[in-house]
Amino acid sequence: MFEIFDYEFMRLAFIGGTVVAILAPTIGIFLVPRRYALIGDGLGHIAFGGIGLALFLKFEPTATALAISILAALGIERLRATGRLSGDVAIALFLSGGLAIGLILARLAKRSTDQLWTYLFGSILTLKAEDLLWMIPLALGVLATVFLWRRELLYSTLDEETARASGVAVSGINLLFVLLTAITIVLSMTIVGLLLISALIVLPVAAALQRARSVRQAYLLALLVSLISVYLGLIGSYYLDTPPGPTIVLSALGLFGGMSVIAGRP
Amino acid sequence: MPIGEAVIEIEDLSFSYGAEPVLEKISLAVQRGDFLGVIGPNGGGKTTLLKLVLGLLPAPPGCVRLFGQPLEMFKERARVGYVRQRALSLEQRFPATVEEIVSLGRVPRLSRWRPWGSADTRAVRAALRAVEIEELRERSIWELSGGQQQRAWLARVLAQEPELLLLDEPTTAVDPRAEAEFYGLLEKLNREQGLTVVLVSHDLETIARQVTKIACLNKRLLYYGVPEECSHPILEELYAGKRVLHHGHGWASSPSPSQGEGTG
Repeated sequence: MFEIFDYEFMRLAFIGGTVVAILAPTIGIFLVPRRYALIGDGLGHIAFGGIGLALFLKFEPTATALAISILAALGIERLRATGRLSGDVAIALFLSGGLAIGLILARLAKRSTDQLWTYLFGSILTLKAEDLLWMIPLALGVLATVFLWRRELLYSTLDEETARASGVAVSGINLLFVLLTAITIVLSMTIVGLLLISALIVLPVAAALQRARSVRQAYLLALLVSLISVYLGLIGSYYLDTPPGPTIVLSALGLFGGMSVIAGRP
Repeated sequence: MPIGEAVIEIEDLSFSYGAEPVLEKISLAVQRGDFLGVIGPNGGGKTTLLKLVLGLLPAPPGCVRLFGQPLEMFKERARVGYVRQRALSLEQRFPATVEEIVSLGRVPRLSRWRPWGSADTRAVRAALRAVEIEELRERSIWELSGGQQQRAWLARVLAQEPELLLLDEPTTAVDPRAEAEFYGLLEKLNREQGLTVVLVSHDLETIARQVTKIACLNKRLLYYGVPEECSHPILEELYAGKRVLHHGHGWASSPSPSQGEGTG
């Protein structure tokens, strides 16, 4: 059973997977009630545009994706705050635009589709120890920031108007939140891929919300579902020889479905 | 600040959404300890007035003062509490206990350098006690009745320890008994704790017993003073064209409260 840990790449995959499994619902718990799920998806696609740009300009792909998605996050939040980002059209624009730009630039850079594939659907099994050296500090930074601002984040999420009226710096908090979302998405890129990351952010929280009776319960349950999804996905992909990213997402979907049935809600 | 000092001062305040004027030349002052009822028809500018005072809409500079300071300079927002229409609060059905909701009221009083402490826990307990729902604190907010939920929103704002409380039709979609109890609670807070209260309602009858002052608002301020002197002609003008007024026990009925979103 435990021979899977005999392999270095599997041990690294479990460490990287754990980092993302903790991060995703920490962002998701605020993202889901804000109805930002599509914004998460949009940022993932834009990050892919950033990857294409990096390949074209021969920059470091991850750092470029991070920079581009942070810039995009700032832009999206600004559009949202001024009420100009309403409706599916704006999101569709980001989704398809990012993907199209990424693919075209990568093609112009004469890169093989295999390399793009790893960014779109993850490549957790190719994770290197030095990747974890930047992933873990960045993830700890995101976790610490959320922890310090958790009350402000929750107030702005649940009742933005009242929070604003009583002097909570809601605009700053919203900005901080999209930044954290952008960082989380790029961090998760190598694990589940840019096309699937929003599933890992949204599904464990959506599953938890069906059972939880308090904020604390919802978060802890989402964390549990997320960790189980990642571990099940990794083990499943090892024994079934399936791609890990999609297997993780299918595990999360399975848990979400199972919990829906138990909760008696479709 | 001694009793009788102005908490809100509004002078010559006009506001419009684009070309549509919503408020025209409003002037009034709310003194510490007042319980002001703001009444008027839907679309009469009541909510807009509240939002201007709260800084949620941009008031023209120099027109509004809070606690003696110009609104533009006013930074102590935690001194002002706000309860908005129940139907609009927490629409996402996010799971939360009553205590978690009420604890949010402390957020404006916290900072990075002053994290959660025992004083905050005490303020939350005191707020729950003040609205008499202490025994419900572990319950999910969604298991509560409309009236109990309304008390939880009130407890949340009380946990903030405000000196001025602004409420925008807080009892929309609450049954009449719970509504009467809620207003009784506000009256108690006003009398016993000296909390200054501004209550927006489109129904004079339900708030007439509690308030110490009335502002009749329909774009312009038609009346501002004690409720006893608010005459029928004023009320008729206030609700002109909205509904024929009939005479009750010395009070004119205002239009029946609609259950929709009051944007007035």
